[in-house]
Amino acid sequence: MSEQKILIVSHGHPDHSKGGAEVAAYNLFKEYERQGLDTIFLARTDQPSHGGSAFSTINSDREILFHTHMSDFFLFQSGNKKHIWQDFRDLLEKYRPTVVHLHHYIHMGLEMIREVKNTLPDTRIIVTLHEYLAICANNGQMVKPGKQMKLCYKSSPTDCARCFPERSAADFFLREKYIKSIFELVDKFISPSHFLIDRYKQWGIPEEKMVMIENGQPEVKAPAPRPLAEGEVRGRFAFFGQINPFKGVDVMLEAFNLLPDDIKGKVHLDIHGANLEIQTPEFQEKINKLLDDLGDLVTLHGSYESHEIGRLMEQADWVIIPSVWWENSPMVIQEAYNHGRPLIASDIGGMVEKIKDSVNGIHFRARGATSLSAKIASDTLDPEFWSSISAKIKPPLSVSKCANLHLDIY
Amino acid sequence: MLNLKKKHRFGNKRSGLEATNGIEQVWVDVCGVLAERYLLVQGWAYHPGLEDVDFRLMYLGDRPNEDVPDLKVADVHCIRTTRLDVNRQFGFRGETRLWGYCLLIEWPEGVDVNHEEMRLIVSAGDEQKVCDLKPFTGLSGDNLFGHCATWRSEEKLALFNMLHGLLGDQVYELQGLRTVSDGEIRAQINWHWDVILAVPGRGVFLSGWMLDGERELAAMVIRTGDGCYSQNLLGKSARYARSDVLEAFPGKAPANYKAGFYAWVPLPHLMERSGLEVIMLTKQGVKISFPLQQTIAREDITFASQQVLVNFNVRSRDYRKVMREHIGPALKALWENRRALLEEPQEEILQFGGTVQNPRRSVIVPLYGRYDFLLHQLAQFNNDPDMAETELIYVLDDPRLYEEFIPFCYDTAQLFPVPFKVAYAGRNLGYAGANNFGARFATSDKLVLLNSDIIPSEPGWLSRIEEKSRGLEAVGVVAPKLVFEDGTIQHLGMSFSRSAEFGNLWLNEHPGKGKPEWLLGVQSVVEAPAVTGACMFISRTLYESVGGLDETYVLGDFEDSDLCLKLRKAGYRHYVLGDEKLYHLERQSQNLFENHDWKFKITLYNAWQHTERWGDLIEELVA
Repeated sequence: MSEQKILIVSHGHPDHSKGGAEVAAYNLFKEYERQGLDTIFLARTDQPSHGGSAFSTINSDREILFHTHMSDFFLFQSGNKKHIWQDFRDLLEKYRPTVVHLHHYIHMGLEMIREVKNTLPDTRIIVTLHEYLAICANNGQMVKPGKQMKLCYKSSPTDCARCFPERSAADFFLREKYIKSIFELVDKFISPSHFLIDRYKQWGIPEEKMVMIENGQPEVKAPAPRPLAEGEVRGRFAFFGQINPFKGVDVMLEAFNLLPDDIKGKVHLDIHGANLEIQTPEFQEKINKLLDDLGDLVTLHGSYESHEIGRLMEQADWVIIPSVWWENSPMVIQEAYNHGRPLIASDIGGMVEKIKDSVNGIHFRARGATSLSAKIASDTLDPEFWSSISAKIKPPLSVSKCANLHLDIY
Repeated sequence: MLNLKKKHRFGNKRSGLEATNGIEQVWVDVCGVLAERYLLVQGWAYHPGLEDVDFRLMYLGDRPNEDVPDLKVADVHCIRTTRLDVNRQFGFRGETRLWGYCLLIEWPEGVDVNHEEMRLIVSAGDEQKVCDLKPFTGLSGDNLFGHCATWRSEEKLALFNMLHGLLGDQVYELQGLRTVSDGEIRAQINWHWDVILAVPGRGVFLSGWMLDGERELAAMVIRTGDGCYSQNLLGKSARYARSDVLEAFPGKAPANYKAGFYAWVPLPHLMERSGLEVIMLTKQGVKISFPLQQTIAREDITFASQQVLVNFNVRSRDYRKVMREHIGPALKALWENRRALLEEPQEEILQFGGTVQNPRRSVIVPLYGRYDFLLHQLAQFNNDPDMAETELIYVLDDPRLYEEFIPFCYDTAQLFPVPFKVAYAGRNLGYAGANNFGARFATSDKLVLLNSDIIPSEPGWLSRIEEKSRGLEAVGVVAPKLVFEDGTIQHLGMSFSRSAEFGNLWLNEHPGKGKPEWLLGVQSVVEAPAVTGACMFISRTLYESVGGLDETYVLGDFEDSDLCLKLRKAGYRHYVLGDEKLYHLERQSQNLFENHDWKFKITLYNAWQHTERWGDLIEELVA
């Protein structure tokens, strides 16, 4: 084990962007470092580099930034292939990793995988799958383009061409063939959910090449339940994440709007999320109108730093995850569990897998504001019910255990 | 001179009822010398009781000397004509009869002719009439036609045709033909030329409209600056309805008159800067000439072929005749002219990755319009052990792509280590030309012609297909089964079918196309009359022995079946391997039969060429 040299590749550095994938990749890297392993964290950035170099470092000389980009999001083509076959190749030749673990290929190019095989044919290639990017050209969401955002169950060249009239079925066929030709070079795929494994299996990746490992969480002491005043109910709800059409914030706000007035007086919703301002005007208008209607019932907090999560969780009784797409293994689920907070979630995809209805959380009908509203208005608010649910939350996988599961695969 | 002015010469006026059975009267109106080479005798003979009479000339005694023709054997050309004036003179009331005659006989140039030594003999059965001639005087074009005023229009045309048959194009140069002003002629005949496309050394494509509702014209020809004449375009042109022209000139032509006009005019000696004029000759002997300002065809023939094809109606009954006489030759001329003007292709060969030594096969892939297929193919070839023994030649057949394509190749070769060559000719060669060009650089004896939109379904296909081809009888071309991205059949061998819609032309067919494989009962090996060019296995020796793919098909079409038929004629046979599957992502735009634009017409032209060449063999093969 100690002879391993592990190159972790991430499509971003958590210092720059705090997506679940970036954080998971970085946590692994820090854990390997803590265990005294030989490792490098290579994170892609869109920032300009000094002197136009492909690389620079951040925090330490083991955290390397890769200043590159993609030119084609359909085939995940590098926008500067020389970065791959010259600079990245050189890095591989100099460092000679025994394992290259890519947490993504987006923003860098699928050619990264090809290049590892070209330069170091014996090096193990591990890829963590975070979305359905290879399967679905709609940002890997498996949600059909268009206002209705219909859920998609299965891809095929003909069906996909219907979603993208500017492309032909042949284009999608070639895309699939191309991506699979690269995926063939991968030794193991890691997925943080079985749901995602199933989707990739259906798509044609052999099941034995895929392993489920949940994202690890830092070990924290779970905060005590929020102290209740005399007669108070468990009515503090929180949302963590991006405010975009896929995350279902609009569904959630509509649900609160539908609550009977007497319930409205007992509940509060805190939204910890950013990026509303970059959404389409239509979507912004919709959210703003709902926020206006709800008045004091909702507080929009904006983004937060990861070290703040504990304090924010402490103030919440329930965490809501109303996503209208499948999700994979959203970080917020593990974070909520890590802080002893139960979740109310859409009853689809990765959410159903991670949250058991009426055991350690509550399901509502995905995209159903009425359903969510009814769930909130029912025994959810009952402190005893809350205690019985939260008592069944098991502490999530720790970063160090997660790292060990990875090392077994390497 | 006109006989109408000489009524007194008719002699005794008689009633038609009193007609005898004999040749009642003969009259000579004109004795003339035409173009210093022909004697012309015109007049009338009244013979109401006889159906027909013969006219000939003879010497009064013996043939005067050796210089003059032997009238006993010399050809006398005779036209019988309507003479309504004779009818009137004799009060003839029966059906219109031909009393007039016009005789023409060749006479040696420079030899005097003495009318007193000759007689006109008119005979019917035993009866004969001998008539004196008049002194022969030189005839001008004007008085030649002037004598015909009482003739019917088709008789004048017959005179013209007879003159043309004897004098050839000299008929247009007869001295003294009457000319009229532009305004005068346009009161009767009108015209406009939209396209005058000259292909040097080949001919002219002329198109526009021509309005001659009363059919006044006897001839219309093109004359080049150095005195060459075209054939008479009146009988050699395609005509089609132009209601706009009829509306612009109301009452000038019947409603079914076809004013639209186009013609391929062969002029094999046409010089590049030759002055051109159109010469028209009316049945009245009026000559009109005016210059044509031509456009000279160059290498880029897209617009020119559109001009040729725009009025071509592929649904009309005479479409094959028009194709054979006008469209086909015009396109052929444009295409040949283009090829003659283009320089020899350059030869740029770029090697990416190491060279494959002693390859077992050479795969040739032309690229046109889209080059990302190279990435897709290399991504698949990359894990195929056969590629270590394969010479892969991409022919870039699209100069527009060059600047982007070469760096793309360089990057792709760095990431997908499959050696390949790029062959570039500096210009577009077309599908057949590109394959032939690529084959020049092949160093193995086995060729695989492959389209860029073909993707293998699994590695090892090259060696497997070669293995399966061994032992097949008289192998010409071997091709695999090709499927679309959804797995339905794209190709299982080609066949031919007659198009009822397009004049029974033979069109290429892909039987089973689009059907699920299980419906078709695909066999491991099946012989086919032809196979697709999308993926062809053929020995290079064989390929070269028939000159490769034929480059005369315009814009790429039918070359594959043409090659197969060439080989078939030489006794080779073609096979499809039903157990070998490759994907063919054929694009929709190739189905040109759906819309009737000019590209479709080009396809039809290719089909026509193909049918002319191979119709008989195809008939044998598909019988």
